[in-house]
Parts: sequence; structure tokens; C-alpha cells
Amino acid sequence: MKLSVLSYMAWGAGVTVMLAFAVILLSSVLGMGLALTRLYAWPPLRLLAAGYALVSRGIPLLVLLIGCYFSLPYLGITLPVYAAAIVVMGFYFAAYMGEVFRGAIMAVPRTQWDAGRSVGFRGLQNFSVVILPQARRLCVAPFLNTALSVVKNTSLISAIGGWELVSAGREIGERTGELMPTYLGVAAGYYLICFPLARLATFVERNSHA
Amino acid sequence: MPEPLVVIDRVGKSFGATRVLKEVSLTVGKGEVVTLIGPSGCGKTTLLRCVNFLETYDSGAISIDGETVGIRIGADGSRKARPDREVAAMRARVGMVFQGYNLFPHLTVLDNLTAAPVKVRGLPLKQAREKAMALLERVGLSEKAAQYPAALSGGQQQRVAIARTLAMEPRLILLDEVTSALDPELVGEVLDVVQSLAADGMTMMIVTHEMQFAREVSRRVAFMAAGEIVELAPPADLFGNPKNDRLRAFLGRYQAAHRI
Repeated sequence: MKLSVLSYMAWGAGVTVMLAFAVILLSSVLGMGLALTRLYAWPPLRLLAAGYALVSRGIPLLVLLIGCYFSLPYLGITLPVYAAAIVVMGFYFAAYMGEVFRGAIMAVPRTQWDAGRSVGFRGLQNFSVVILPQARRLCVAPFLNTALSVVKNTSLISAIGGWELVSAGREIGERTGELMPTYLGVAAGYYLICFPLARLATFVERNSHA
Repeated sequence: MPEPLVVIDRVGKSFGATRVLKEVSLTVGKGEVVTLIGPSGCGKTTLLRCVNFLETYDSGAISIDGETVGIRIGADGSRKARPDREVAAMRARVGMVFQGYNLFPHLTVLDNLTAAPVKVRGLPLKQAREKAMALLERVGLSEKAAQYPAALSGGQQQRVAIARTLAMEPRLILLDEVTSALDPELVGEVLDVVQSLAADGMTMMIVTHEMQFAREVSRRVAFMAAGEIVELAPPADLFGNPKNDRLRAFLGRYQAAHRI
């Protein structure tokens, strides 16, 4: 029985990892777009991107998840629960990822732009050869920090009926009545997912030259 | 007078309401070393940055080898910004060495020297590396090729920065207070490299606070004050027989500060 409980939990953890991965991927792509828009786009678009970041960071994720998932059908859109969850969380965390990338790009000194231009790099080339690699190093720690936040917040997906680690734990708890050990197990599951990410952040920070 | 390479013709520039350059004119001949001296805020660094268009200018014109820098001036006197591609191509042949070295911290010393030749010039990597090693040899740092800039002293970083500039085979090098951030005992090693470039006939515009160095390396020295070149002469005349009052006051202050 213990083994089947463990494997059930591991299955839930696997779903959590996959959900988190999808959300991190989507929010990173969108976040990069937001960051570049806020930094370099036509000024009205910059304002729009800033507004987006402000609004989405000011709404609780749970409200967004429930609100979007249960009101989308009224607009004639029905999405599978996982798809809806990934899209909503992707857009939500894009605001945070955007700030992570924007901060990192802005943290590269102006003098590096000058140096790149002075050896003959063109605008975009300078950005990709000189600025971006340095920004990438600067953003690793805050990026992984946000990624940890994504992992933990996938637990909210259980609130709209998506099955993942928390749902697995709830079912086990209800069936066995062993709530305390079960939820300790769930917590340990999240910890085991997050721990390598946190270690990675420390490792990368220690091994960067910038 | 050698054939002119850089012609600065009545260049003016303002930052907001402050006029930092007032109708500055200066011609630098091929193979000539011209040094700009003057008090902080006199516009010498701004002028230098205008020459490779890291800074725009509002009026007048700067040209290098007959080509106007950063803008195109029409027959009717209209000024049109040059596209990024043309400005970058011009900068690729004008070296600049900065006060803060500005090496690329994420690249090794060798990669700092090969990045632009490979990516801007399209030089094959192997060739770029060979040339970079030869240049590092020249500035006495070939054993540092695999290091990252952070592992080098300020003087070493600045020598790498000079080598990075040379890797693009510039026809002109701009040096902006290249020893100002260095500890006094490291100044000499950098100035020696600049001195050797001058001996090779490299055209240079140098902004510096090292008067002794300006005296030794330059063919002419320009004294700037409040956005204007107020005196321009060979170093022996400018330092030995300064005519302008502001220059005399400036040199007096400098001597007082450097008397031990």
C-alpha cells in the first residue's frame, strides 16, 4: 500500500513538473516579448506593456484562474483544464518574467553598449553579442526564483479541477484518513522539485564571470 | 602638414540648455597625434565621442577621410542621419579606448579581441585568433589569452582594450582618459603601449590629464575650455610659452597639484 501511495504521489509530482515546465516556457517567451517591448518599442506600446505588468501583478492568481476558466465558456471558448491553466498562468507569470528580463538588460552598464558600438557592432548585433549574454548571467538568479514561484503556484490548478500533486495528496488523504503524513509528503514533493532549482541558482551565480 | 584624416568643422552641441561644444574646429593629419587637454567639463570627452558618433552633434560637420560622420549633408545643407549600417561600418575603422576599459566581461581576453573581427569583418576565426595572439604579444599579455577580464589588473585590462581596438585595424584611435582609472604605478605600462603606437605612425586623438605624456607623445596639443579650443600648438610652445590666460591658470593649477 505504501508503495502504491508513493507512486500515486510521484505521478502527481510528475504532472506538477510538466505543468510548471510548460508555464515557465510560455511565460519566458511572453516575458521576453514584454521586456523588449517595454525597453525598445514605440512609446505607446511601451506604456501598454507597463500597464499589463502592473495590472496582472495586482490580481491574485487564484482569482484569474477561476475567473478565466469558468467564464471562458460564456464567450464560446472551452479549453481543457490543463490548457486553460497553462495559458492563464503563462500570461500571469509573463509579467514577472518580463520584469526579470528587463531588470537584467538594464543592469548591463551603458559603457558596454558604447564598447560594442565602438568596435563596429550594429544595433541588433551589439544587443545579441555584447548585451544579451551579460543580461543572461544577471537574470539567472531572479529567473530561477520566479520559476520556483511557478512550481509552487501550480498547486492552485487543483482549484479548477486540474489533477496534480496537491490533488493526488488530497485523494490519498481522504482515502486513508492520514492527513498529516500525506500533506507532509506533498510538501516534501514540492521541496524535492524546488531544491535542485535553488541549488542551480547558487551554482550559476558562483560560476559567472560578469 | 600631412594629408588630413579627421576634419572637425565648426561643430556645436548642446545638452539641453548647456552648450558643451561651441563651433569647434580641428584638423588631424594622417599619422598625427593630437592631444586634448583642459579642465573637467570643458567638452574634450564629448568632442572625442562625437568623432565616432557615440554622441551626436547638432551643427557643423566631422569627417573622416572625407566622409561625414553619422550624418549626410545635402547640397542644400540639409542634415540626414546615416543608417545604422553606415555608422557601424565607419566605427569599425575607428578605434576607441575608454577610461573604464569596457572589455566584454563575459568573454575571455582572446575572444574580446576576435569578436568584432569575426562578426563584423567576417575574418575566419583561425586567422582572427592568430592576429589576436600577435597583438597580445605586442602589449605583453599573450599569457593572459584564456583569462577573463576580471582576473586582470587595470593596467592589463587597458592594454587588452588597446589590443582589441588594434584587432580591427583602425585608421584612427580615440583615447579617452585611458589612464585616469589606473593606480599610479600602472599608468606607465599603458602609456608605453600608446607611445609605441605613435612611433608606428598611428593617427590618434587623445584626451588626457597626463601633461608629461601629452608633451612627449603629441605633435600638437589643443587646450579646451568651456566648449572651445582656445589654444592649439605644438607641445613645446603650448606648455613652454602658453599665451591664453585660462591655459596659464590651468597649467599653474596642474603644476601646483603635481609638486611633491
